[in-house]
Amino acid sequence: MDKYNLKIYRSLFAAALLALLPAAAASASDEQLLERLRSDYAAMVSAEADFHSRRERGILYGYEAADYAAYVAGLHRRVAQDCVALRENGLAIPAGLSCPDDPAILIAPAAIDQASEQTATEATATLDSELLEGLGEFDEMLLREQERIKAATPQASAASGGGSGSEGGTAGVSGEPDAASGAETTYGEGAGPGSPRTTVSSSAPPGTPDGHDDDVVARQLREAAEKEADPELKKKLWEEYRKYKAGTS
Amino acid sequence: MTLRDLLPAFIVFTLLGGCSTLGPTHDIKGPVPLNKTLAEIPEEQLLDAWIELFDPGELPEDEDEAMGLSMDIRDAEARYIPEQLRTTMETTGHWGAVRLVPQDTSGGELLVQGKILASDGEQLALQIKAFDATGREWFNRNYEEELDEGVYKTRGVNSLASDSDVFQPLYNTIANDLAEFRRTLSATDISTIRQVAELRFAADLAPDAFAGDLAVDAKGHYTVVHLPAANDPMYQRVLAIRDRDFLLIDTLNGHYDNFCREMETPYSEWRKARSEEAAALRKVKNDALQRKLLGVAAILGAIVLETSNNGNYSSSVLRDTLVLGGAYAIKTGFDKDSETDIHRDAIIELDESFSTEARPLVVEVEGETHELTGSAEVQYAKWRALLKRIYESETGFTDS
Repeated sequence: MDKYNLKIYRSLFAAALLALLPAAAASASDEQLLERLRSDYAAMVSAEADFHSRRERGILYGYEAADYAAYVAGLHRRVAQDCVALRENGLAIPAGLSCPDDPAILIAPAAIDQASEQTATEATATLDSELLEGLGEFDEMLLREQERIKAATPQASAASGGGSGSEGGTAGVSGEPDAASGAETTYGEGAGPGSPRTTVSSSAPPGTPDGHDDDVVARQLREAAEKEADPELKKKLWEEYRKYKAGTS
Repeated sequence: MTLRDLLPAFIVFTLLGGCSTLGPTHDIKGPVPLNKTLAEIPEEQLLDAWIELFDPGELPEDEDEAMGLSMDIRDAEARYIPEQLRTTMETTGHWGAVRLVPQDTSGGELLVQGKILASDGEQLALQIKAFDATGREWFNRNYEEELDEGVYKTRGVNSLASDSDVFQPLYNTIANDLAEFRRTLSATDISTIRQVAELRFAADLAPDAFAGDLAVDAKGHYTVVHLPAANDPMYQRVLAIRDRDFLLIDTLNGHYDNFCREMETPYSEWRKARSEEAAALRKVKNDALQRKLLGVAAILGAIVLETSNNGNYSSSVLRDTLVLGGAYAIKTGFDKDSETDIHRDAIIELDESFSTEARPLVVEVEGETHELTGSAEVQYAKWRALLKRIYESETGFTDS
C-alpha cells in the first residue's frame, strides 16, 4: 500500500468514525443521564438526611442552616431536572429511584420557608428585630407628631394662666370625710395669685427660661432636671434644657 | 303632734335643703393654700397621676339656670378644667408625671376621674373620683365653689388670661386631698401600686406571659402574685412598649396644651362677661320684684285705709296717693322686667359666640386625639400579636 492510498484509508476511517459519532454520543447521553440521576439522587438523600440529623442535634443554625437548606433544595431541583431529561428521552425511571410527580414545579427555584427552618432562638431573634423595627417606626411617628404640635403651638403671649394661686370665693368639699391630713402646707413659690402656668423651679440655674412655652420635649427635659438628685447630672440636664430651648426658640 | 314638736325637724330639713344637693359642705372662705412638698420625694416613691378628660355632665333642667350654657361649652370645659387640675398638681411636687389622658385609658398608677356637675362662670361643681392601679378607691367627693360677686372685676381685664384660674381654690382643694391621701400610703404601698400598674400593662399586652402574675378579687382589687425577673426578656420588651405608651400620652398632652392655650382667653372672657350679665340680670329682677311688692303694698294700704275711712278728706287724699303710687310702682316693676330681656339676650348671645369659637377647637383636638390613639391602637394590636408569637417561640406553648 503506497503512501497515497494509506492517506485515503485513513480519511475514509475518519469519515466513518465521524458518521458513527452521533449515535454513539446519543447512546452515551442516556447512560450519562441515568448515571447523573443516580448520583444526584444519592447526594440528595444523603444531604437531606444529614441536614435533618444536624438540625435535630442542634448543631446547625443561623446562616449555615439556611445555606445547607438551600443546597438540599438545589439537589432536589437537579434530581427534578434529571427526571425531566429522562422522560424527554423516553427513558424509564430506574428502579429504586423516585421522581417527583410534577418535577417542572421543582425546577423553578423555590423559596425555602426560612421561618420553618429556623430554630426557636433564631425565630425569637427575628421577631425581636421586627418588634424593634416597629418601636422605631412608632418613635418616628410620635416625633413627627410632636413637631407638628410644636408648629401649631399658639404664641407664648396667649399661653399662661393656671398656676396654683388662691382666689377669693367660697370653696366647699362634700362627700366622704377627709382622709388623713397634716401635710405641710405652704404657698411656696408661685402659689399666690397671679402665678404663671409653669413656675421657675428653685433648682433652675439663673438664666434658665421660665418654661411657660415648653413643648413636650422641653417639658420632659425640665422635669428630669428638676427631679435629678445628682448635682453634676442635674447641671448637665439643665444645660441640655437650655440648649434645646435655644435651638427651638 | 303640735307645731312646736315639728319645729326642730323643720329647722333641720330647712338647713339641709339650704345646702347644695352635693351633701354636707365644708365651706372654705378665702384663699386655699396649696399643699406642696418641702423636701424632694425620691423618684421611686413618686406616683404618676393620670387625669381623665372629664365627663361634661348635663345642663341644668331649670331654664333660667341653663340660660347661656350649652353642651359645646361643656365639652370644651371637660378638657379645659382637668388641665387646670393637672397644672395645679404638677406644681406641688407630690407626683411624678401628671398627664391628661382620654377616658378609659388603662395603665396609670393613679387615675383621677371627674364629672362637671355645674359650671356657669360663677359657680363650679365637680365630682372627683381617684383610684390607684391596685383598684383602691382613694375618694369619691363633690367639690363646689361659688365665686364672690365682683371677683372678675377685681382681677381686671388684663389679668384674665395671665393669672391663676378664678376657681383655683377648688383645684387646690382637690390637689390637697389627693396629696393628703398619698401621705397616708407607706413606701410599700407606693411600690406595690407601681408594680401592679406595670404588671397590668404587661398582662394587657402579653396575657399569656403575665396574666398569671396578678390576682384580682371580686371587688376589682389587684395583688401581685409573682414578680417577673428584672432581666426577663419578655418583661423588658413590654417595658420598652410601655415607654412608648408614655411617649404617646406626652404627645397627646401636647395637643391638649395647645387646645387649652387657645381656649384660655376666650373662655376667661366668656366667664367674665357671662358672670357680669348674670349679676346685672339678678339685680334688675330684684329691682322689678321690689317695685312690684312696693306697689302691691301701697294698694293694699289704700284698701285698708278705705275700709277704715270716716270721710276724712286727708285720708281720701292719702288713699288716692297710695293707689296711684302703688300702680306706678307696679308699672315700673313691669318696665324693669322688660330690661331683663336685654341681659337674657346678652347671655344667650355670649353663649352662641363662645360656642362658635369653642366648637371647632374641640372638634380639632378630638380629631387629633382619635387619629393618634387610633394609629397607636393598630400598632399595639400588632405588638400584642408579635409578643404572643415571641412567647410561643420562646416557650413552645401555643393556644392549641
